[in-house]
Amino acid sequence: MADKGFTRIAPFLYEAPASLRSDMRVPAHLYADEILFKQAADDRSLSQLINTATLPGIVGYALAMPDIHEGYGFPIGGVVATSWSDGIVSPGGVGYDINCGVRLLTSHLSVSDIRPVLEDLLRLLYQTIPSGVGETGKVHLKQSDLKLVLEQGAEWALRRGLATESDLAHTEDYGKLDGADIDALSARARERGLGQLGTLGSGNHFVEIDEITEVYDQAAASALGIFRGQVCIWLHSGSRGLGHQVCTDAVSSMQRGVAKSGIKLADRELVYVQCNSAEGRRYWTAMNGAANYAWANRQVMTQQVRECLARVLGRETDGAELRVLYDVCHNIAKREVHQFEGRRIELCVHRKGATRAFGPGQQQLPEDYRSLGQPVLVPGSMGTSSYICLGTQAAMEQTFGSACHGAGRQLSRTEARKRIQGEQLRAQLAEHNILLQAGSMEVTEEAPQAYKDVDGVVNVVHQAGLVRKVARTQPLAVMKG
Amino acid sequence: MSDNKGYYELPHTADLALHVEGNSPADLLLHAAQGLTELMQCQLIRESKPALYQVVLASLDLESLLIDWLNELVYLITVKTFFPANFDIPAIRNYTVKATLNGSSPMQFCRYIKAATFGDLAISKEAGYQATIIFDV
Repeated sequence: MADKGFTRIAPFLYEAPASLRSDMRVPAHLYADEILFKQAADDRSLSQLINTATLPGIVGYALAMPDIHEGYGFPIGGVVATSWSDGIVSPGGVGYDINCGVRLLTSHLSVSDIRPVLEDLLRLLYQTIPSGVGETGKVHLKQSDLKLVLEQGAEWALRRGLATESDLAHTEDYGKLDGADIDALSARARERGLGQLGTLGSGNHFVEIDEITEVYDQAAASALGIFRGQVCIWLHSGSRGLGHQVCTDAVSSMQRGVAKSGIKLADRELVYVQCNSAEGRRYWTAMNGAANYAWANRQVMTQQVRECLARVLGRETDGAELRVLYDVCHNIAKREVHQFEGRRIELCVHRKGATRAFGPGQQQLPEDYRSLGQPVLVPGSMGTSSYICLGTQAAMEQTFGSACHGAGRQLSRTEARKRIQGEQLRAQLAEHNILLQAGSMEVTEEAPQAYKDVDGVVNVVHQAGLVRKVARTQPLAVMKG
Repeated sequence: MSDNKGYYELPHTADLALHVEGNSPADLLLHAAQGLTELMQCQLIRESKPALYQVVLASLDLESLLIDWLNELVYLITVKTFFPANFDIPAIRNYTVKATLNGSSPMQFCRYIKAATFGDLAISKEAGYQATIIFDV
């Protein structure tokens, strides 16, 4: 039983056939249970998903994950793979925060170690890592440095002693996409990148100190070096104003080409160019540069978190023992080779609010995780669980190696503001012994009630076989941007 | 935000949506700009001094001009910390605008907007000019 043209074709999979709308090229697939499907049907998520099924060169199906919610152009939680040779890349399908992503740091500390210094740590993190709506941080780059950041990504930080080899090995694509070119960025995009490295941003970006409260797969947890009661730190941020400007520039300039070709778009934010066109290559090199900036950004903040932890513990070496478990991007387009219908095909995989979830054996994974599968990091909202999962072979076969990226919003921002007061939110978190520091006034829009049930979202991808759950974490202290 | 100002906020799950009305294209741009500064909660600070910017844009069509205009303002607000308070927007011809913005800088704003998007954008011309703009936040 379903609606809006979708029918349930497997326990956790809904399909809208390609015949539903005359402009669809492929079916649309949504991974959900009944509750999450109904929530998706409440706003424009499903029609946005169907719109993505109209894109030229799309392969297989337009996909959406259970954390789907209404965005602009693509739905958040959308995955679209197009043929690299004759398909398209859509900047709106990547989003404005290019390589917005999540990194998880694990410590050797238990909750009893951190509790006495938790308030100090949260305060110090807030003082150290610039957050909120401001544009600049403490690192000020020259144009020549920015060029290197764009080309080298997290490696730029490694060369300056702000990262370890292990940090890079446990970052998606080793924290660097090849072929970035500063000349593909506008003067404005470059200007915006000069002062923002090592800044968190606002909105749903956060640093969160958590405890691992449940382990579902002991063998995998041991292999990942995680254990119940362990303190870990989540970090969520992206490419800041530089990435926003790259997308703004591309979406604006591509409108002309589409108009000239007489192409009718289902939504103008879906504007695209051929991957292999000059404009496609230009966007690609700019996007890769923005993705690299985001990895350098999260790496600089990682080092700041380490320094803060070392200071509050009064033991200089302890902070450095924060290990990068993994770092994933969830707003990106990637050139990937997948097996589809019995043949190997080169694809441009757009993940807009979706996480890569490569299964075991993939060469792109670090050696120590290769037999396990890629860690898939699924943060919840500030008062709820977050999950550490692993990608699977089923994800490779069904979703081009993709899974969900978070809980997914349920309430509009206006509704969240109406329903939730700041003090009420603080009291609610305090009841659960969760400390909060917020950089901007939008914090009530990010309250747990504004989000879907992350446990339900993760259960869908777990039961659909796209990931396997390894562990769950619960927040102790949250710093919101 | 109330509709008698020529703009009001609409619910949107992930982002922010602003409905804008105007008697002419220039009026539409004016109300969109005023709605944007209100959404971003622009405020003067003690150090604020008068400032002036000129915005010149030539776009493909009215929808593109509206989005290019708003993204120009997002840039001026977030990067130049300029609070545009008064807008002199002459009549728009051939989707080209040459506007003079009087305001203050530096300033502060309480809500960050990444960009104005083309998401689901269509300008209705049935009763004046009307559009709903989705902003990525």
